[in-house]
Amino acid sequence: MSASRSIGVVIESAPGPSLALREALDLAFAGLALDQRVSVFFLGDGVLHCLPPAASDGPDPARLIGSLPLYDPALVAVDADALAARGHGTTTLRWPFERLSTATIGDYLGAQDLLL
Amino acid sequence: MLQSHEIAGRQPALAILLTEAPRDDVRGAAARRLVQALQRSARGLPAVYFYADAVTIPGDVAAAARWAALGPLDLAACPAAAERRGVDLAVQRTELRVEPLGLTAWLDRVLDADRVIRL
Repeated sequence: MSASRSIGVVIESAPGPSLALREALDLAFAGLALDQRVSVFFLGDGVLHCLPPAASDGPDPARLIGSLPLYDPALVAVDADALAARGHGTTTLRWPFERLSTATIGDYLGAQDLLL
Repeated sequence: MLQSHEIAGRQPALAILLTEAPRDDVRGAAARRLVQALQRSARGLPAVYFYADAVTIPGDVAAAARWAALGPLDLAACPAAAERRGVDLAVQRTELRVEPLGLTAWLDRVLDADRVIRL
């Protein structure tokens, strides 16, 4: 088993039929399974995955995203500026993830050993 | 030519996670240039993992030829991502040989690399 490193997984794709969300989450789960310090960041249109189902389009990603906290990630953060830009600045998120500014998330991203 | 499993036991200086479909070949081209630069610098052969849409590269004759031209590399591809796209990694007719390797196993292999880059 490798020594623990910090891994950042960025999700930017909008909800839809693409496999992008599923495969980004698989990266996160693989890192967590290897006891790495994994953080997941929802940026850009990716923040739409974290809204209540009625506010997002496409297949319900809840089973995968909602199970992230069970695996004890270092951080799951949603870009608050991206939410606001899409008219969801005050919308309650579907899960209690951290709302952080783009700048703060940038600081976190810069501190990761690996960005996937 | 060394096979991927012979190279896999060595710790790569750089690991590349490629997710782009072969038809685009923008990030793929960047990855190959990176590989060539590493080959010239003798810093060690990189480990390349085809994930997401990139799992179709080994079955794409033109794309496979571009990668095969680089010579021996530690190449692996995710069988689960391939299956989602209707691709069977065990049935490839191109000259590119890739090791079917699960995402967790590959990540475990390369986590000690100096850098892991997603392209």
